[in-house]
Amino acid sequence: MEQVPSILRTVGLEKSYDLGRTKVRAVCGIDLSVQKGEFVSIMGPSGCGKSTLLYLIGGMTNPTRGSVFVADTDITHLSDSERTALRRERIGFVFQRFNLFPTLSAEGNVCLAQEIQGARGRKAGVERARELLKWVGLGEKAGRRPYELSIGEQQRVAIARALVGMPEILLADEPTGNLDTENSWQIMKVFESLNEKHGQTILMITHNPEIAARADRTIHMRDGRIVNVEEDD
Amino acid sequence: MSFSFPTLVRANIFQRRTRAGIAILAVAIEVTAVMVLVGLTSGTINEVSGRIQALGADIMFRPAGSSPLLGLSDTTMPEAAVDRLLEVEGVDSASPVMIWPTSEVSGAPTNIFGIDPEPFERVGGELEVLDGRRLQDGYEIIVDRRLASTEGLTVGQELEILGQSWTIVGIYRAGIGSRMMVPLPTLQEILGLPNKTHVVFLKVDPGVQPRQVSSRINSELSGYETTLMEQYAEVLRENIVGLDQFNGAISSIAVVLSFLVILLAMYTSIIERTREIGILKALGASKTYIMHTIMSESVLLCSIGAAAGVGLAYLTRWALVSRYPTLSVEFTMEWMIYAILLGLAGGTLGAFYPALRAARQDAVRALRHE
Repeated sequence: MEQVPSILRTVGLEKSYDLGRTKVRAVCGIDLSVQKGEFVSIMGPSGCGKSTLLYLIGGMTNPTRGSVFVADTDITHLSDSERTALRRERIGFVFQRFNLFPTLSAEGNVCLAQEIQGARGRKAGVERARELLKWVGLGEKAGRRPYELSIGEQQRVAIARALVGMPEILLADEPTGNLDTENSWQIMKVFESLNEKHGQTILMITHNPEIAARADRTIHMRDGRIVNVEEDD
Repeated sequence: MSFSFPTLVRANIFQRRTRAGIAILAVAIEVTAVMVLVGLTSGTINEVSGRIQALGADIMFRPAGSSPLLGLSDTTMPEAAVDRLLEVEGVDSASPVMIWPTSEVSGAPTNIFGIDPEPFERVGGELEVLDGRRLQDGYEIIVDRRLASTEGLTVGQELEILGQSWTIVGIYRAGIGSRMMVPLPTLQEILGLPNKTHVVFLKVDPGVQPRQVSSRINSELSGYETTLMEQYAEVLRENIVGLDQFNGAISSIAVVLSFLVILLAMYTSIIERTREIGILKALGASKTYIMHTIMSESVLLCSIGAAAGVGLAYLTRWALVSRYPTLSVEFTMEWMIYAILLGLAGGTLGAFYPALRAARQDAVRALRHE
């Protein structure tokens, strides 16, 4: 069998927080490898360190110990600006609360991400935004503000926004956590399509075992550690 | 990075209208205050000096130590100084003038000139009477057309000034000397200063340099000062104690005002938008992008405020001149640009710290902010 290269690797990853006089170990020595094009879900009880792991992988915060490799780059050795650039160019984020800008339309939210990416040319940017929104099934609602969209639609806008820079890794922090069953499955269809048709690497946190089961692999975490890994049959 | 307003800037301003409105208003008031206050001082100086220069005299002669700001000095000299001045080589004519400031007519301080019509006109102060007749004697008064029209004064009307009733005998073309003139002996009598005068205006012989005559006067008559009329506006500016300091203080207050208001507005905005900043960071926004966004918002607010301030300044001038028609508010392009730059500078400085703070926020903490 051909060995697919790791797009993402963590080695002895640890993250501790000082909470007053108490030291909280959110992530304790996690070794993880994700292959290019793999769809991995992460499950675990609240407070087990799932989101912290995602933020560490996304370079949003630095680990207390250990390393995060995106392709061959150890991002823990990068400066804050370099990690920001890496996030901008190679990583996409999708959040549970969508985190759209309420003052901007769906199209505006996607265009904003393009602006952050340094895209030039407003017309080309708008066209690309419409293309992405069409792809997530919101072509007709590009001009609507987040409050004019359903929660499922808002999450689809957030996915379109995350895909602006064609990231190598998509990190999704409970993307269906705020959605009902129907909307959850619609979002999952988008993720599956991304993964299967475009080979998108996805790392997704979820509390829903049925949703987690759709991934190639499910990692179970507890108390900041990986306690079990389930491979998809 | 090219300077363009990031997508969020316009949206933020429209979203937070009250905050944006207050910031705009603060900058507008600052620009208005600088323009109107500086315009008022410079307008008054130019208007007064213009009227005095329009007398046509070449030299102003006054007691040493007295202020060249007419009406502000009580120091007098004997009217007999006129005879001595006429003996100085190069002096063609001399006109003694008593000056008394009053607010009794228009509400705004206005000088009354006590003149002797004949010598006054000989030095160049040709009063073009538009209605009525020239001054003669007694409690007669002539007023300029601007004062007459704004106060609704007509020939034959009585005016109560300095506890006396004066009859308006003429209305003359505005722009010469003062807005009101009375016979010199009458004013001397009322003020209890017979045979005294505050200043003497001099005309030099044709072809003679006023500067030479001025030097001659200074060497022959001690205890007096001369001012060349061509330099009067400059001398006025130099003698208004604290004019530069006043303008400096106004400018400083303006900068501090816009600095503080923008600082407060942008700082509260940053606190309010902590989560949004976290999202921007998650999307890969650099510190430069975040600072650019915040600073651009401030620049846009200040620019709107500055433009509104210029409009408000013109409106204020119109209101002031409508209420006090004898006031003069002069806007110069130089001060207008200066006022706008002050507003922009204060606003930009005020936004810098909040922008820096936003750019330095911890991404995870910002994202978790409720």
